Amino acid sequence: MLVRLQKRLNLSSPMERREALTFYILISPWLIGFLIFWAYPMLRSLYLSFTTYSLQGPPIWVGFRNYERIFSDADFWQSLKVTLTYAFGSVLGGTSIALLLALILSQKLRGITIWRTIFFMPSILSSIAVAILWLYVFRPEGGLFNLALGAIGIEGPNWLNSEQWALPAMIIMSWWTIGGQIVIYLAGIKGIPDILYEAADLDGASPFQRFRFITLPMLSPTIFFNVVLAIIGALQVFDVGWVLTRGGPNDSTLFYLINLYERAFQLVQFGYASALAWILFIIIMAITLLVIRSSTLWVFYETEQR
Amino acid sequence: MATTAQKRPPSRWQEIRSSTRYQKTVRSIISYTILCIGAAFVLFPMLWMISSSMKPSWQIFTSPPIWIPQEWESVTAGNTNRQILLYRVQRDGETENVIQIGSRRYTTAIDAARLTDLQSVPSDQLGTATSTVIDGITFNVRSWTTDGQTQDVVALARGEGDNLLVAPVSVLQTAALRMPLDEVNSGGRVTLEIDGAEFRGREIETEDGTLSVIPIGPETDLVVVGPPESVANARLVPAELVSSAGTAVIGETELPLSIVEGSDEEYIVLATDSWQPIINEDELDAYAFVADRAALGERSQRDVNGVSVQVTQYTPEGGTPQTVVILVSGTQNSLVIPVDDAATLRLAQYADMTTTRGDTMDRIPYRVQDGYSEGDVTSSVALIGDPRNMALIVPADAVNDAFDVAPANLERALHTEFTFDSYREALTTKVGGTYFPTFFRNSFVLVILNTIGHVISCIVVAYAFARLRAPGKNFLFLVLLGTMMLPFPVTLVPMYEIFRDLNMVNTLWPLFIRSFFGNAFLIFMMRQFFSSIPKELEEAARIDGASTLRIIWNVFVPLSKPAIATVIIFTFWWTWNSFLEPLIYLSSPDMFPVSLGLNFFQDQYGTSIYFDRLIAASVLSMLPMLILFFFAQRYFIDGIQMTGMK
Repeated sequence: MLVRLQKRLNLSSPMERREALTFYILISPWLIGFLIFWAYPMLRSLYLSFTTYSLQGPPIWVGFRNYERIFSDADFWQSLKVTLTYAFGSVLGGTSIALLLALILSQKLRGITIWRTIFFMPSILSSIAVAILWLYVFRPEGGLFNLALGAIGIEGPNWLNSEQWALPAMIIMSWWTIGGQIVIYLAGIKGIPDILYEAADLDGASPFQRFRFITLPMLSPTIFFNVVLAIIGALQVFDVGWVLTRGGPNDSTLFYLINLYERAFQLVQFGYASALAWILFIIIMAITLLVIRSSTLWVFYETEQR
Repeated sequence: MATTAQKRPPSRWQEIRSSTRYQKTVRSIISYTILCIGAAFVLFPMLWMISSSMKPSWQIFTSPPIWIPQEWESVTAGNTNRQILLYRVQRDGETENVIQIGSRRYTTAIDAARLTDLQSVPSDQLGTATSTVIDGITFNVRSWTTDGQTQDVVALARGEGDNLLVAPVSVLQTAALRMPLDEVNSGGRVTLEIDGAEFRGREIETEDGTLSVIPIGPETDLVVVGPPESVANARLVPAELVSSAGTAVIGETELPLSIVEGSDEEYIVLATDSWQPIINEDELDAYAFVADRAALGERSQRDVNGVSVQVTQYTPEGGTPQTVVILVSGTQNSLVIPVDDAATLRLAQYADMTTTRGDTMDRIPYRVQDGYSEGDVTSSVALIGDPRNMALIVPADAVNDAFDVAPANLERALHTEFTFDSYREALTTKVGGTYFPTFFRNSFVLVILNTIGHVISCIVVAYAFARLRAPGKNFLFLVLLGTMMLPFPVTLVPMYEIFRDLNMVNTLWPLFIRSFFGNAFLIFMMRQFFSSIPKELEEAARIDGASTLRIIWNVFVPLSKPAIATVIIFTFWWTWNSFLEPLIYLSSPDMFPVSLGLNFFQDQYGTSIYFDRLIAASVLSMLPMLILFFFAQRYFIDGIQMTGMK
């Protein structure tokens, strides 16, 4: 490969060579950054995952022992269950709500910018401030959520102190910050050519049919891409669980990253934590690939028409 | 049926239903409803938080929530600084503002001599107790169903096993008395035996001899209230001078009256609290001096401005004697002030002396309370001597306008008032050995450094990807896009190792240095923007012999202001909100950014005792983002659309 590169460089004119050199000089900050802050750490962490290492002395090679220990560790399975449940709930609910609101906003309504501002505002706030805010919303007494439930005759639970309800509370909370998705879907819907809807109107299509046969297929690549991003994000959630419950009560909100953080930076088990990180890496890659593979079933690309 | 329906012409309703206008209206009503529900879900928590940050802390967790911050209304009692709370009460269909001037607690008691018909009943045969008033006496009545018969009874005591001793209401009606609780409790304890069951009762001396009663409850309160004007003549007297002088009957209750030693006039005691003699610090600085013990005469107690203080005769060498108030007495010498100059000597509620500090004059120490407020005047005051118990009294004619009311009918009088105490406390309280503004400074430092790093690196790299041709470029661009999807946790541990080896742990370096190496998303966004700039513009510059950096600076940067703005805004956003990395790298609180510092107001399980400060601090932490958002919403939205549209 290097030889081929060399050949091509040699073949090219001095001006092209100069341009290539300029290119590499200009991208060097990113390239160096990529090597130092991505490539090297990934390989290093892969290596560390086969060692036992606590910053004292050199890492000691232990083969697959970290992985064996992880797979027999109840904390790992609990954190995996919690994280996958959270990802499922927050992505499914969040995407549905965002789509619904984007669809409504895409109609010709009054004050569209105001609505968009309202829905988008929470997503700019720091997850810490949002978590603190919801700490109060979920208070069993005097918290807004239970007051709202009380108004319709439901006695709300002690959300964040209950093993059963702490995770659902965080999922509900995640729906508060879907403003970004609304904006993206709204732009996506706006980008669908009007001519398609005009044709549908001529055929006498109902609003539901317009949604089912035009909006949804045309929007599916955008939905698909954002679902992938949302899943990746949800699997790496940390702040919310850390601030609200520190993983409790009784590990019912032990997110994967909380477990990893505790292993790495509280117990200083860097080898073990690296193995955890690589398992998460593989899980995320697997889920992403799975979604991409399955996408042919439900994502519509315009090129298919041809 | 069906056939007739088909034949019938479409009704007016069906016509309406099928009309497009109708469908449109229905659809827009549904749309707006959903939008409003969504907006309520978004806005209510935020509005609640912002309004709570300006409430006094008692209002934060009321149910239903208070949306507009309010403050208790009060009147000032006489010439003191004591605030008396105002209440609202409904009387004769009108709402009146009143003050509480007394209250008494009553209980229902049974005359033991007249108690008969006791029965032992399994508790599961009894209904729940409901408080019922019969002939002015309150009973906890329960229904007792046995053999299909139901009668009203009152449970009096525990029986054997799970049984309760009950008596029928009809019997108790004749035996029950409504008595002031303090009167009942003043009687001696006695054990009474009735129908073989033991009861704990009290023996009370009355005019007709000894009365044995069994208090059975429920206890009820009656409050005596009067017009706010009653406190106009209120004054303070030492509590030990006050003694009881019978009661005045007011409606259904009585109000205790008092007399003050040395006079026959009757008073009502509104409150007895601890009061501290104080004097303004500037007056102390101006007139007080240290007097040698030898120059001071015999001490005596005397009233100065209505405050009982120690005074003595001060005779300077070769000077004329004068009377001075002893502010602080020492062994060798004392801090004194001439009586005539002690104009601001007065009493303050001891409860207001919460944050005193020490001060000295010629090495004689005394305590000072800063920010002591009386009405609109705030001053620093020095504390003199010990606090004492004082009774706040008003002349007994106040009973003429007084009336009684059940506490449930009293409502605190409130008015809208925004208080910024929570903010002041959040900003001035020491947290983790530092102050909240330090976290702000750190966050801003990080924002600035990260912005510089991102703007420089992203412009340069994006230009290369947008305009220059080189072997391997497409592959590298794919790598760049790929890093946007990579999960960062996989690099956490080695990254910590790197910064530890560089001795950068517990410095701000790890939190900004990487921005000088670009950011995949921002580079991508910038490249898309650069690609849309016409090539002709740079061709002209290149022909003029401009260097690449000059072209970037003179052609691309001026044309890319919106993209650069997006880079700055996103950097601000990410830096301000980042949490995990500061948590990993920083351990000294004086280096914490806002996101991490906020956690100090909260203990491990979110049960913060400083919730008022936590709320104010959270609002403060949101403020820069909110301001940025309102001024630059377009860039946020454009940038977000970039992330999601491929």
